[in-house]
Amino acid sequence: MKKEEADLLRGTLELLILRLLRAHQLNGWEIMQQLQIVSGDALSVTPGALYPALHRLENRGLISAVWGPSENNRKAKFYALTSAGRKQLDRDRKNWERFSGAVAIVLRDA
Amino acid sequence: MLDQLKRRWRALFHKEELERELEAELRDHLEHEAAQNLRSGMTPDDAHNAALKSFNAIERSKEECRDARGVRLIEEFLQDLRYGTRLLAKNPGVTLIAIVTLALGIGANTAIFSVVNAFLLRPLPYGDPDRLVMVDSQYRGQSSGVSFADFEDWRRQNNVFDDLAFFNLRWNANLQFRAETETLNLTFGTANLFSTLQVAPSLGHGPTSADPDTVLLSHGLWQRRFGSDPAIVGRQLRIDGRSLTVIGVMPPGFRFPFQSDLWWLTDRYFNRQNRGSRIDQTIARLKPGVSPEQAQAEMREIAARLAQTYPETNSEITATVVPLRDFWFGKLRRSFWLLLGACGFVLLIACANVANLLMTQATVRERELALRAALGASQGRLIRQSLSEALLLVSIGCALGIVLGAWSLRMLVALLPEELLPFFVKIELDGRALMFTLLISLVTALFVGLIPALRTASVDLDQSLKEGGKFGASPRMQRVRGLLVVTEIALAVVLLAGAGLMLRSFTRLQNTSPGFTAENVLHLEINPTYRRQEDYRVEFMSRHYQQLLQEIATVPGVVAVADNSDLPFVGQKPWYRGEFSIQGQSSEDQKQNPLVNYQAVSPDYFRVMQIPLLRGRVFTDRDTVMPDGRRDVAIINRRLAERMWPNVDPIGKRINCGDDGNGCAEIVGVVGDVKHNSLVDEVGYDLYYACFQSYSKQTHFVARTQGDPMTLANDIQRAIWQVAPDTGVFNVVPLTRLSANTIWQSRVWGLLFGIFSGIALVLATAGVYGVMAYFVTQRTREIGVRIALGAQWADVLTMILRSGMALVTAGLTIGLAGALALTRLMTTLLFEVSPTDPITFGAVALCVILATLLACYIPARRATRVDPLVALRYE
Repeated sequence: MKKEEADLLRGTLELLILRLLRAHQLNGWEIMQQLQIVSGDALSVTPGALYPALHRLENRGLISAVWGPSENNRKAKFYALTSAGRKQLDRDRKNWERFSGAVAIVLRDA
Repeated sequence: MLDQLKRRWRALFHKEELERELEAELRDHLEHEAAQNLRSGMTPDDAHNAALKSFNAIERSKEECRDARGVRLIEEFLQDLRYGTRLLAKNPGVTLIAIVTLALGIGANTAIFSVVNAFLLRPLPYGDPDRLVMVDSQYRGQSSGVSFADFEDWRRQNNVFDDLAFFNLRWNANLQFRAETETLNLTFGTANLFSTLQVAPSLGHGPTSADPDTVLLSHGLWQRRFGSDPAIVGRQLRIDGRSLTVIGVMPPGFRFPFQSDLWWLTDRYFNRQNRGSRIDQTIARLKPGVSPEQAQAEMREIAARLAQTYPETNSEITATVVPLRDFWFGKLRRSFWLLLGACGFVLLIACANVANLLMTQATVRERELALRAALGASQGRLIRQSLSEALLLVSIGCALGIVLGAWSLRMLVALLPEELLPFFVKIELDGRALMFTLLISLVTALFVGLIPALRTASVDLDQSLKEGGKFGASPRMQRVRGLLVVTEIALAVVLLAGAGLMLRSFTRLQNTSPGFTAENVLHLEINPTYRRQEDYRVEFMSRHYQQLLQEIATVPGVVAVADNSDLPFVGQKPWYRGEFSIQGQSSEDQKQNPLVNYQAVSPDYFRVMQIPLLRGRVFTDRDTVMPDGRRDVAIINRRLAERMWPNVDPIGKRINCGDDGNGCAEIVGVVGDVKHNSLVDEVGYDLYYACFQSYSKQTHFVARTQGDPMTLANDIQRAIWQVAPDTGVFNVVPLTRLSANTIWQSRVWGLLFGIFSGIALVLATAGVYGVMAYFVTQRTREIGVRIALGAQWADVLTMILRSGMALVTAGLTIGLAGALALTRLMTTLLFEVSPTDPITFGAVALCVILATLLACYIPARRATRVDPLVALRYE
């Protein structure tokens, strides 16, 4: 049960990361904070889940890393969406909408 | 895609950098967190502790981050390789043996595959070669060559060929260039020969109907003789006293049908009248979608129609259609596959041996492996490790094997008689051969790696860790190793049986007398240049030859010299064979007569060749040109005499021979039988004329010499050129070379099979030795106990030998059974040896028993010297 939850989360987490990176370059910490804020504290992610997800996305070429100064003026790793990532985001988003819409219909009507 | 590769590359080769980056990234995160904790009002201590807690979680995620790089498998593989290298380096002896064994197996396969590739696999160098077929006439089931009249009818009447072309197999011409005479192979053909082959000249153009007296050059001749002069097209060349215009140069490497340098392609000069003169060849291109079988069916009908229309010349003539590759190599095909099979056996034995070796290693390391398994290494990981080790060994073996293969290939090429092979057979290591080598190496690595690996994978952890050093003797392990050794012996026995049969067959062949003595005889081919039309008259030619022979006879060291227009063992010359009849024979009886080998010889021929005269007389100098150009004397061989005149003296009988109307001759002598085509073939029917009464533009001289004939080659050629400087003299070789050429296949196959079976025997013996030596080591303690309890050395010896010979007996039995089944495939390759020859099989069994007995005896002797005190303290 726990494993399935994790898998489900992993897919969604990656989608959320891509979405958050659409407008800005962010580092890991910022992604974590943004997720919490934007979702109104409904969603949170641990670093243990976040960083592997970032590395996987980077390895798939969906996001790329740039080293830049963080707000405390140290070198930090920022992530940016690549064009492949942008396409992937569109696809995943449509899938998600279809899926969640379907779930909603079933929950309402079944 | 490229980015992906770049990232992988970085992950593999810039690992530290990546690690530093990961470290920095995570530290950055922790700092943020600690700062936030402080901001949210935690005490510094609490903030520190909370951060630490997070840190632990993050540490764990590091491994997952590394996995995300996607190179874990490769990393582990590299680790295994490093580990494997260390292990292999620790046992240099074992490693070396394994590598050499593999290199032998792989090298042999590489070499033989290259040969098979050159002969059977590489596409023939013509356009769309699979549609090319040879069309031949057959007379009583034997191919006879094609006459031009038949060819023209075939060309007109068929619906299955795009085109048919006509050419001769063997002709020579003298090229006179800058006062030098060089004899070259010239091919006459119809104008459409190259368009049928779909090969175009690289310079100039093909033949046109406007000028029949034109010639095309080979690229090699053009380079060598004319310095690649592009202005060669349009130039006149003196060829055999005629003036021919060069119209083109063929592409590099192109020759046809054998090693031709000149092509004279025109339909004009072929003999349309004599339909019965079947001496040339036809090549044809099938229409798209037409199979050789369909073409064969149609040609059979056409031949039957011709037989009705021309009963005189075609009554027993059929036509066959043979795909081009089969025409060249049909008879060789089976021996090539057999050879490759033998090579495969050698490789299998090598694999079994190395697998066995690695298993011994694995046994020694079993405890270590068990420990690793206990510490959590997955089975898959352990198998992968064993495979990477095997891969390492095989890669080195493969590299060495390719070197070995390339080297042995050069030796092999030297064994093949180049002059008998078509031009396109180029034996070399090409991409296809290398691919094959890599493929078999991969399979080898799997085989060699998986057997010990599966063994490792099934290790019983508890047992192995508990029992200390003794687990290696586990009965299951011994069984697998025993099985490998039995397989090795069985395979080696099959190879030895094959090699033994080849060897016996070859010695039989070598000891077969051809009916003449080839030793100390020099062979020369003679092609005089005739300038005027009257030079082609018999009187002129015979006088010319007589002069040449007289001059050669004066050369010191020449015992005797003679002339034969159609010498035995000269290949590619079908026109010597013909029909003959006895005077007054009814035409019905004539059909029963055998075909005879016509030869025009000078009086000393039988003396030079040492062919015994059985009856009557040989020719003399008085058997010379008759006023009306008739031949009046003939000599026949014993077989023809017995066939035609059983129990009657043939001397004085009169025969009709030849189709030129000059052939009414009286038999004056009977001589011994001679093998005409090759040492392998049966004795045929020979009919000799006096050469001074016969017409033959080209001929062969044979000179019996004192000592090595080649030392006189220059003197004899000088003598010829003294008489006629424009005489072409070529193919100057000892007669023994011609006779060796007729059995080159036997020689080469025998040698190769011999080498392969030798390797197989050594490897199998080494395998037996390995297993037995290990067996003794494992049982040192038991042996010690036995000796302590009073066992004699003979008892110990018997015990070890018995268990060793049990393996040998099993292998031998299986091997002999397999050999009995497989050597049947060799029947066509053997000469007067049955494929189940009991002597060969007995010798093979004895040989294997002796070799393996030795392999068992050495460890057994060691066992008898075991000191019980030492043995009991052992372990």
